[in-house]
Amino acid sequence: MTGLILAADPLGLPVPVWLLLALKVFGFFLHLVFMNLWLAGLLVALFLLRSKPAVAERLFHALPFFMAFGINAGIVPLLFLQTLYPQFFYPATILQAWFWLAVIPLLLIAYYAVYLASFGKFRVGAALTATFLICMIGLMFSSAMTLTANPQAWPVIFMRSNQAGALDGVYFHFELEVLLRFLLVTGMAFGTLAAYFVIVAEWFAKSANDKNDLRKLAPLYFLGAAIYGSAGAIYASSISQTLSHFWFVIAGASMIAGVLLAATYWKNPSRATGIALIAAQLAVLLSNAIARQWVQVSELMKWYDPYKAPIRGEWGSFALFMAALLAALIIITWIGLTVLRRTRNDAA
Amino acid sequence: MEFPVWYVPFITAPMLIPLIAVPHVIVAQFAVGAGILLADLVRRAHRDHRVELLDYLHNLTRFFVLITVVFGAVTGVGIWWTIGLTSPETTSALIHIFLFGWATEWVAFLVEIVAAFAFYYLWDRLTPREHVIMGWIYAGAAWISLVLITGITSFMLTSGDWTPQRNFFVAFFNPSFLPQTLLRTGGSIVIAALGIVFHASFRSDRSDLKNVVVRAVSQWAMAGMALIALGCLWYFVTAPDHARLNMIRAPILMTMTALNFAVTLLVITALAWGVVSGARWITPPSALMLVLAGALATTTGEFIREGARKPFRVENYLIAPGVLVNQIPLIQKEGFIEHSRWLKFYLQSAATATSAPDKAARVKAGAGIFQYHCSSCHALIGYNGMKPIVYPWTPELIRDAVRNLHRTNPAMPPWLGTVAERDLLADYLVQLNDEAHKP
Repeated sequence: MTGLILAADPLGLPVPVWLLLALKVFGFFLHLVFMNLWLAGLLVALFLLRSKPAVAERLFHALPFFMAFGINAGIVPLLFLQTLYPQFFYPATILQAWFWLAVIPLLLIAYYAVYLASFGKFRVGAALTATFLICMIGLMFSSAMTLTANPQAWPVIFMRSNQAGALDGVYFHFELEVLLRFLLVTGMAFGTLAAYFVIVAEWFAKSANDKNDLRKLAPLYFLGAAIYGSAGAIYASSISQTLSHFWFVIAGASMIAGVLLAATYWKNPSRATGIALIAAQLAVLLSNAIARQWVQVSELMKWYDPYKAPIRGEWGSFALFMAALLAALIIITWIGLTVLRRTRNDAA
Repeated sequence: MEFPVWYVPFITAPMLIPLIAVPHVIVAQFAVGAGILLADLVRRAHRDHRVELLDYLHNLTRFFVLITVVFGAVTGVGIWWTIGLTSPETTSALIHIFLFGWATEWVAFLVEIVAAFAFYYLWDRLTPREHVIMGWIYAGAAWISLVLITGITSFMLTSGDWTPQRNFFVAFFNPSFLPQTLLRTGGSIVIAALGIVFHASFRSDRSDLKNVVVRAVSQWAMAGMALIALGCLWYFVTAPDHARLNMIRAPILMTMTALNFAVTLLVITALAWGVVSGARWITPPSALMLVLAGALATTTGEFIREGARKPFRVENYLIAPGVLVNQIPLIQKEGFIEHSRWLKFYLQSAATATSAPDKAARVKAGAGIFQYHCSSCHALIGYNGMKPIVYPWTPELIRDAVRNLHRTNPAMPPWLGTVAERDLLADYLVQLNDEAHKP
């Protein structure tokens, strides 16, 4: 079996493993935030279309932005995954190549469907189509990541789906873990959306009614926590050996804190409680991003230790990246402030 | 061959790349060029207080955002997806060399998105100065993206002084980086000009708006054409000998080059006419013809760039079908199967003894070698179809061709296995030929 796994890319790693892992987690965290917003946002916008049309409208308008930034941020963890673990990621995706490739056209259709819904054209149909496709894409990602961390499954799949040793790529990997990972993200998504509603209610509400409507959506957090808790309870048993207790506690405790804060905010809304709820949800996302990375490293350590790979020391290009990131943050801050100034002026 | 091979009938797996890459390159170049042109047109509109021009540009920007932020972004990710599936060795090598170049490109892309949204969605709310700055921020970020990606793609053709011991910057500033940057910058401006002319062609002739837009973008496009001409000449000078030989020798590349020159000439004439006479000649069909000509020029240009590189995937480092150049002597000595993990596993699991005298077993092993050694460029029937290629050949000619693989065509790699493995592949090809000749 180990014969199928390449030791490491012959070029070695550009910078030390800890830095690559940190950047991967950072990217995944950013991706989680926006991907959560579009995943739950589509469903909730559809659901609120009749009961709270103003909130639904606002959500439909925001969805293209969530998609744009979510897709953009999704590049980062995949880039660092391919740097750290190409020998696991490529075979796992090639084994189910047609499904993995299908992510691109499905995403394109879903994205345009989100724009259609945002522009108010065929809204229900477009949003339903986008929701269905995004769930499919979510499952495909979950499947690819599960198979990446399970090389012991490769030989059987390979021998079942090849022609003269070349893969036909029509296999789709599905097991309970795939569904659980997807449900964990879906659970977090409702929590993130609830936190987003808090931000809009407390800082960007257009009227008192608008604020009230938005504040009443805090129970979405409970729905998210229920899904997250149910999936997490089953999933936890499969990773209890690999994940440190510390991250178990942090991931669970931050969600419990989020539930309590959501309940408090729902009954007695205030900015202070809202900020605490947002912080709790960010802790849920960050602890999950770290925990997932921890599990991936631990599971793959059985086959390959990235810490033993030679380091090239690409510090010059790393400095270029950091300088570009700093410049980008300055520019984006200026744009953000300009946007705030002009939209506030307009509202006034 | 460290990774499994994905079998895609008729077109081969790597030919999925251009299916996504060509539309992406056209849209991405449009995104870069249109960023520059829109920023300039908005500047002119604000300067001259032309409200109707601003309204028109607002409409154009909506089209632009929908095309670039959605289609451009997703197909850009799509190229990466496809190269990972079809050429994992190459993708891994490029990511390990250019990791932070790609990460920097991500940063530029992030700025592009933020600026594009602010530019479009706050159209009527920004001050003219802020609006123009937003446009130029978008244009600058998009152009930086182009430069970063060009550094990576040009490296594949001309790796220059880079060796695995040398760093990112040596790889990035390779001999064809500057010419390709000029070429792509010029191409972007021209593609964007053609796209905008097409968009403007739907406007009525009553106002002079169409005239103003066509004249302005045609002037930009002429500058773009100058960059293309300079970049092309410089590119040809820096191209390595094997690439020039491929361009001259391969009929398909010759055809592509001729087509490229012809459509470029057509576009340059039309745009020059646009500078002189404004929009009088612009109708939707004529503008569409020009857009298609521009798309054809980009497509053929990309095809030439990719085709000329063969058999290298990264010059002097990685050769088709995904083998390190410095490993070739070792693989030729120890065997292709020995160095192809997945093929070896398959043959062992299928209990196919490669040295057995049994013809069926030999053909089966040969079929596996074909998949791993040849199928990245040859389908059985279809793209570079192996069956049609060997159809008129005799068994002796087949064996001779396999023996002298890289001498039959400079775009082919040398034989990457032992003599015994070569015979297995030849047995398989002879069998293919026999099947094809059966009534």
